[in-house]
Amino acid sequence: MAKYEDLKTITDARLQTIQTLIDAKDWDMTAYMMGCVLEYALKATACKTLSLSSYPPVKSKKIETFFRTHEFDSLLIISGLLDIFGSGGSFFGNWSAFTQEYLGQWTEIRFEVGGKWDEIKTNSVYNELKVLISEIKKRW
Amino acid sequence: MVEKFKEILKKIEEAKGKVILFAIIKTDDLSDKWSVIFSADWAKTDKRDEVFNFLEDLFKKTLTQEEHQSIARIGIYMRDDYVVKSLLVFKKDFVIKEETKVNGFTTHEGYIIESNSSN
Repeated sequence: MAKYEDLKTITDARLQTIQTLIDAKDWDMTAYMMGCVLEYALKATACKTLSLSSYPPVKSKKIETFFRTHEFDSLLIISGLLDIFGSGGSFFGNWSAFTQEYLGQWTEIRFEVGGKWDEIKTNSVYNELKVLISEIKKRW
Repeated sequence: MVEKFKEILKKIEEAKGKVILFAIIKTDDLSDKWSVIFSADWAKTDKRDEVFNFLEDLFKKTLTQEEHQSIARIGIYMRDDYVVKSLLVFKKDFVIKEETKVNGFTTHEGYIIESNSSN
């Protein structure tokens, strides 16, 4: 279980890690870390939206199914941010541009060896992440 | 909804030109939402916002509100992107009916509206 405040702290900490990875030109690990940052931020926002002190809130297996996921479409629903990141929302374009690189079980990318990420793509996706995190922070 | 996407494809090609890949897939079985996968040579990276707004506007005009809200994202990719390459193996009108692993991501359901690497 992660505490609400810890999820916010780890979001900021891993954002700094991303900058270090970009400086080191480690594009694949940057890609993975960017996905993690959005996941932490959405989970923190879910805590705020649902008034939860920790995440996931209960140990019921049925409920955990929806909380214990890395997939962004499910996390978006419980975060309460569909109004801005969902279809028709003000930041649907930024959401699409970022998450199109993280379809489904995106955490598998940590096992992939090179080729899919380069400097241009990483910087472009990073710019979208910064927009998303900036909006999330207004609501978490 | 698939017939509406075919109609949308027709409008896109009339207005902008040929499309390499146009597909709708579900990659998250919990949320049950669609990802739109789109690629065309005229949809360059520096025109992403313009192309996105064009597609989003067409979706709004053609789909019902419920159908529109079932779209999780509009993904615009270059033809050499691995997502595009992975889906181009399926021919136009192919239906993905069961869980299919596609080069690193799992698709639970999908419809290939257009698939033509020579476009």
